[in-house]
Amino acid sequence: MQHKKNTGRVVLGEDTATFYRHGVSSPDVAKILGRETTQEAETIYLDRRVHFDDGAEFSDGWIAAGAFVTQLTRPLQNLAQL
Amino acid sequence: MNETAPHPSDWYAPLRDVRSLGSMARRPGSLAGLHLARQEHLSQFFTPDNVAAFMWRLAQPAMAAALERAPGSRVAVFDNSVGSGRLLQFADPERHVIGGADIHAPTVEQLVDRATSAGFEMELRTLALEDQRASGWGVGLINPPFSVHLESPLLVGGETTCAGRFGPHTSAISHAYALERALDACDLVIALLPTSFAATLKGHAAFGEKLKAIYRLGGSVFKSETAVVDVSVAVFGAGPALPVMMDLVSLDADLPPLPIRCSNTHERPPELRSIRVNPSEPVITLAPTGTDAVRLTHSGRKLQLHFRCGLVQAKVMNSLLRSVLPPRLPEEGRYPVGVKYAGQGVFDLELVLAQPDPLAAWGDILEAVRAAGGRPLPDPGILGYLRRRRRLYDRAATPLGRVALIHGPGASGNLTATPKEAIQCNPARWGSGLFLPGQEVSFAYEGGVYTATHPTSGEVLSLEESAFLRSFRMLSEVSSGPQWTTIHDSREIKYPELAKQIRLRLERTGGAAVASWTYQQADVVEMLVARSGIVAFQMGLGKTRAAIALCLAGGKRNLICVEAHLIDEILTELRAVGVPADEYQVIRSPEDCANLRRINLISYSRLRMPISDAHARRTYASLLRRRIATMVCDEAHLLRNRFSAQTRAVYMVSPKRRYGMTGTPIANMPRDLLPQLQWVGGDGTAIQPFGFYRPYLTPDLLHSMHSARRGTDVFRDEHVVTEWVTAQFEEDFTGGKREVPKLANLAALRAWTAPFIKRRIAQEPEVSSYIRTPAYDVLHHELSWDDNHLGYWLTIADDFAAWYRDMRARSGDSGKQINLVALLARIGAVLMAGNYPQYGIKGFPTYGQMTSKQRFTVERAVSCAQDGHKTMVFVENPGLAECLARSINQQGALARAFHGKMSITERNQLLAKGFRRGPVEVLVCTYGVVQTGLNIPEASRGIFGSRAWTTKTEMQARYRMLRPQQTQRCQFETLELPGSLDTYQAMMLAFKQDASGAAVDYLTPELDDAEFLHLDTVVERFVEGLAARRGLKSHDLREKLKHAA
Repeated sequence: MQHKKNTGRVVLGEDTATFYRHGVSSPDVAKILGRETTQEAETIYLDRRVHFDDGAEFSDGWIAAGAFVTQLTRPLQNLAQL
Repeated sequence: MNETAPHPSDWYAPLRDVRSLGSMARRPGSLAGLHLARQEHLSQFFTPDNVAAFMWRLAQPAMAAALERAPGSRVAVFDNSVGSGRLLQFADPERHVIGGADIHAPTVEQLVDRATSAGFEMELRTLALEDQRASGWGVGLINPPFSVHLESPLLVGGETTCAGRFGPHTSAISHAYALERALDACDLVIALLPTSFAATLKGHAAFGEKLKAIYRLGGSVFKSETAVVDVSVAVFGAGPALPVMMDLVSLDADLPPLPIRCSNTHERPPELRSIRVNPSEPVITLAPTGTDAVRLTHSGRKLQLHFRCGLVQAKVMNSLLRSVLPPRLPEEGRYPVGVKYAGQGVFDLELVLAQPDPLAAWGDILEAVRAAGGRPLPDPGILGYLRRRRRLYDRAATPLGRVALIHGPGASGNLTATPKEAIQCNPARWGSGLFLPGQEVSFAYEGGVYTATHPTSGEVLSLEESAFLRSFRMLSEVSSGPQWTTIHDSREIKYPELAKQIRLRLERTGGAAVASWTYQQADVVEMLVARSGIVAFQMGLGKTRAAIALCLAGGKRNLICVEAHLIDEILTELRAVGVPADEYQVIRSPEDCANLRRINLISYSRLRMPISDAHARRTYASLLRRRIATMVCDEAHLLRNRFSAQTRAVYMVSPKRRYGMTGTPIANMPRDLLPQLQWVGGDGTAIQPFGFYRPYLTPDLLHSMHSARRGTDVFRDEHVVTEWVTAQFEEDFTGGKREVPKLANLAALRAWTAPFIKRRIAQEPEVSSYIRTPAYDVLHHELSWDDNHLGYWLTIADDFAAWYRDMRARSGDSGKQINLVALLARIGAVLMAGNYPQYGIKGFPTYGQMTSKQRFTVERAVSCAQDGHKTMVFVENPGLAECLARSINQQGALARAFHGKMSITERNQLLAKGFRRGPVEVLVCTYGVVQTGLNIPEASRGIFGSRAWTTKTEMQARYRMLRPQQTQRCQFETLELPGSLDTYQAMMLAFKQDASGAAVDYLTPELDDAEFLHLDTVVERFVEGLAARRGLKSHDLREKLKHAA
């Protein structure tokens, strides 16, 4: 999957994720259904699909994908760089 | 600073009666009650007039200075919780632009109405604090809601925001946030605030620098609003200054001047925008519970997944659907309706059934659910469903037994041939195997298709007979005479045990006695091996009996759907075959639907009819829905329009078994087959892949829908032939391709229809032992035009041609289709001018004389009658029928017109007493009344006074005479005025017959390479030929003839 840079900013709350896209003033808000962490990556599952293209990269190294709902994935190596 | 109090403006007077939500709410009794009360009244307390006047007085010096700086400008005054506009009440439309927003819409609307009446330039919106984005305002006069907890991702981060539910800077206290936003939007801010908060402003990181004064008003100012709160007015402006801090005894007290200024509208244009969270709905509403169970059930072909945990649902659905399909280029065609995800094929069990091993494919789906973190709990019935369906599909996909008269190299076998020129197995593929001239190629021949395997690439070259003969020269000796050949063995051979049981059932139910002839019974057995099919017997071979037998063996409640005028004929047949009277009925009322019998007859018109005026949507079809075991649709080609009320009614019934009856499965164009097979074979199923709404079903769609195409698109591309119809149109780009009655991919089409269409023709060995097919001859007469008639006809034909070219050009420009009704009306005029010009064509003079064709028709009819033959003349128009009948009578033969303008009783009487058993010698009929159901073996001569547009219509007309009871050799005569629509219609009929014969009767298509001409070309070539014969130029001849007319 090719990552699309600078798609925008994602702000994670207690149980919500807010997406602020470049060039779009209105944010998207989705509920977080759950988080999973493996040895390689951290993944957050949302309750709707808020990204346009799979591989869209948001702030803090989050990469959005998913056909049905958005799942944000961040390789743990990205996390270490932050 | 000793400004006098401002005068209240008249425009605001009506708004003083508006009461705030806070003033109308009950006083809370506790802190919890206070919270609830704030949610209810939104902390809306309007600023008392005297406080508003005080705050306006504070701003006035700065506003006056701003107006002085730029005469003609205005000062933009803003309130970010404007309520009823108390703080704006002193504004003057000549000097101020007012702006504000409030969450309470009714109050804002009232303010907008008044401000509009007063002529203000304004920006007043219904917006919550967090939704506002303001900038460029001169003065901010605010009385924000106090102490309301704001929580939103739309809050603008600053000194007053903190981390909240939505993340950092998504929470704030209303009055602090309102002040910070006002300071960001306005040069000068005068804010009414809780004193407790005002006390913190001095030295505050966000506000301290701009603070110019704090005037404490005390706790009594909101008494009129029934609230007790200690408030202060804070003044903020640009530039450093030590803030003034005062406790005011009176609002009229003298105040020290403050170093404040504001901009006017020339210096800064004010703006108020709104911002919202993008509206979207969650696709998962289940809470994450941690339960990984995923129940798999099915509703028909649709696989349904039931989750208990939202997170598991997210993981499994993302894993199964994989990705959203990319958009397609226009030339790639649209995706089928509802196709959105690459992996959505797993939700269609038909795709599972289309796999070589459906149970293994089903196992893969369960494994995919498991791999995504779900624990699959499949409904135990699914496996049984898949097994049953697979068995059924195996039977249903088995071709129906078929014998056909094959011309060429005999039955199935092998032969050797060599290419006439190099031919590639797949010209569309680079590097595809090539057969070269001189090379000996071994072909296997079966069912009219020649196949050869390329020795190197292993590709299979598959050619239909005509294509084979065009491209290859045969080397081995083969028999070439026509012979009856078994194309497919009967299903009885493949399923002997099942067939035996079905035969026993037929015996038990009485079906065997009804379909008593060997081939009829065998065919009914074959049809019952599967649950659907089309009985496409040629006319007179016993379709009605097959229908009755299918119903008798079908179940408790069965339905035969026929055209209304054929009900009596079916009843006669039911009586004739001895079905007890209490076992069948004609459905004529809703009560009949309540008491269904073993065989129920209903007309198509009643099936789609509402049961009463009061229930427009409740039709007979809906009363019968899912209550019918076997449904037989007579004249199944009537289903060709998927959107007609009739077809929708047929679909509505939704029986367990469905059979169509038709003698002409291709009534018009080859594409007529598609809707019929979709009804019997399903919409994009494992056995009938062409979906109407669904995709063209191929096994690979289970793994990816990337290649999904609409079934109708694939059918069109594979089997519908479009051609440029004239060179002229091609040259000037005003024309276009249009469908012509030819077939593409004949072998694939035959393979597709083989499991569904049970065709029988009278000449088949099995049939001919029962049915005597009357012999007949066809005579064609090419007649001469009368000059006057030709001129008259050319005038109308040219008018049509000019109109058509113009419409094509216009439709080409606008991308719209030509209005079909207008096109048919115009063609109808040309047709009428040729066949019945006495009728009169709108916009043209009437042609009153008999035409050469009419005279010839009369002559021939009289001659046949004089020879002792009862004669039928077929025409399109009742008026022409009357006209010809009159003329025939004048010539001495007794003729009667027979058309739809007569009542059914009149027609039946004329037919029985006048023609069959009476003195009438010639019956001049319209096609409409002789198409179905009439047996007239007494007649032995047929004259086609005008041609029909479809093969079916002319064949139906012929078969009125070609009954088994016919004792004479029949003769049919077709007439043609060369170059007229007769020529065009004859060509059309020839092409349609050729295509239908090739597809349905395994005949060799003979017109594959023939040019299909547009009407324009037909007319032009005729006139050119005529002109050449008369030594004139085409144009001159046209003009001469037109003047003569």
